[in-house]
Amino acid sequence: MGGSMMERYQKLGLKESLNQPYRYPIACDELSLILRNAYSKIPKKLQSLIFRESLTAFGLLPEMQTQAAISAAHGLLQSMEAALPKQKKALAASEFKQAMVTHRRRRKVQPVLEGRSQLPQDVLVHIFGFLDLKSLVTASSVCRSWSVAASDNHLWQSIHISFFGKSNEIPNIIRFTNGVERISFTLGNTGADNVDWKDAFKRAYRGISKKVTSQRGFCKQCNSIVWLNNSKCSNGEISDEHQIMPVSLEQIVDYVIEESIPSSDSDSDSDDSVDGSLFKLWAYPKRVSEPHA
Amino acid sequence: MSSSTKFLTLKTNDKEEFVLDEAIAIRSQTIKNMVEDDCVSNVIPLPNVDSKTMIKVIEYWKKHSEEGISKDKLMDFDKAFVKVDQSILYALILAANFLNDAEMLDMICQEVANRIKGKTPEEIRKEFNIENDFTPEEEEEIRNENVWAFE
Repeated sequence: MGGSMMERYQKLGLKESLNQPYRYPIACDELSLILRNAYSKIPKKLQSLIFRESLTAFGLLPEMQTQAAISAAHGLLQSMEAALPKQKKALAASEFKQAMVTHRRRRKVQPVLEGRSQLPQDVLVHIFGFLDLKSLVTASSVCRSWSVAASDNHLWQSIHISFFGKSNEIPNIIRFTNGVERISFTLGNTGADNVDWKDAFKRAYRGISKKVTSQRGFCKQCNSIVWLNNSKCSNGEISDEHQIMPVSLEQIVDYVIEESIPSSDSDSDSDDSVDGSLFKLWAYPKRVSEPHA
Repeated sequence: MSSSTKFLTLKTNDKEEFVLDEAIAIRSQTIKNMVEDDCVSNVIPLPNVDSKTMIKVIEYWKKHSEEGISKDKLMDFDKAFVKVDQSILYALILAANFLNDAEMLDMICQEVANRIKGKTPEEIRKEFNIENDFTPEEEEEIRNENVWAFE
């Protein structure tokens, strides 16, 4: 099982994650929710660890140059103010204030970089293969060349596969002259290149009611909450062997406090749901194509 | 040349020469192909790589060729290796791409991806020193087009 509450908390690896700008906001959110929902229920030792790590988060804030980091740290402060006793509250507030001052100061002295270097399209596409859905969509609005790269058909094909499995069915969108569209499926691999995968994904994605795009998951092999890398356990050497269940922020807190192991869906605990179609959502293949080759 | 260890000389585009154990240099598929096709004379020219970048590449190759090095040590090395300015990161990507070292390319691309994640378009432009070449109308259009992913 997952050991003590302290061990389960430590396995979240929050301290480490705070050092990485792309994980900082999520780590803050997790700290925040633990503080809010469970601070009074947890052992003293864990309370003081969480307090220290929250202060660490403020200390690292000046190094984060994103709006997401600031609002996450601000949320953390609010949770601390709601959950902590007076003295600690005051300390948290002053640390946060200090961090914001340093943050603003540092932003001003950011050097203007000389020269703009550009990456070739195939390399950009390769990089974008490491992005999650939302980041990929965001990347498309950075500039023209990124926009082109982020629309690469193979990229969207692999995203489609990662969400909906490697089906032989290829969605064909039939456009009638009167403007009516219908999706039909063709079996076999013929015509896969003719599919507009981004468009196909968009349609299919709209149809999912529960959109889990969490960057955290419960890994059965690691028996802990892990970071997802392209929806795979980032600890897995051969990641496909690490079965992953994406988890929400609330589920993370429940797991740490009550050791409730997240299941794929609350209405079904059978193994079928793990190996069945729902699980396919999370069995990300790495990439379909090797654009740089 | 008859000794068991063969050495190759790599020449970067700023005319620096690097003498390297062949066993290490063939981590580059490009160099490996040249060696196998026997089209290597004395010096292998690398027209797409400068010496500053090549020093980093060789540092990486040597570390990753060390015998018996632990996985943890390599991970620590990689982490420190990519803690460089965006311009150096780009140069390394171009070098890894040209030299065709998939492992190194993936590692650096992953780092670039990490620097993109969780940022707004404006923050990404700042991070990578990219000019916004969209017209305001185009930007608006793209924003509307992308709403579906954030619903």
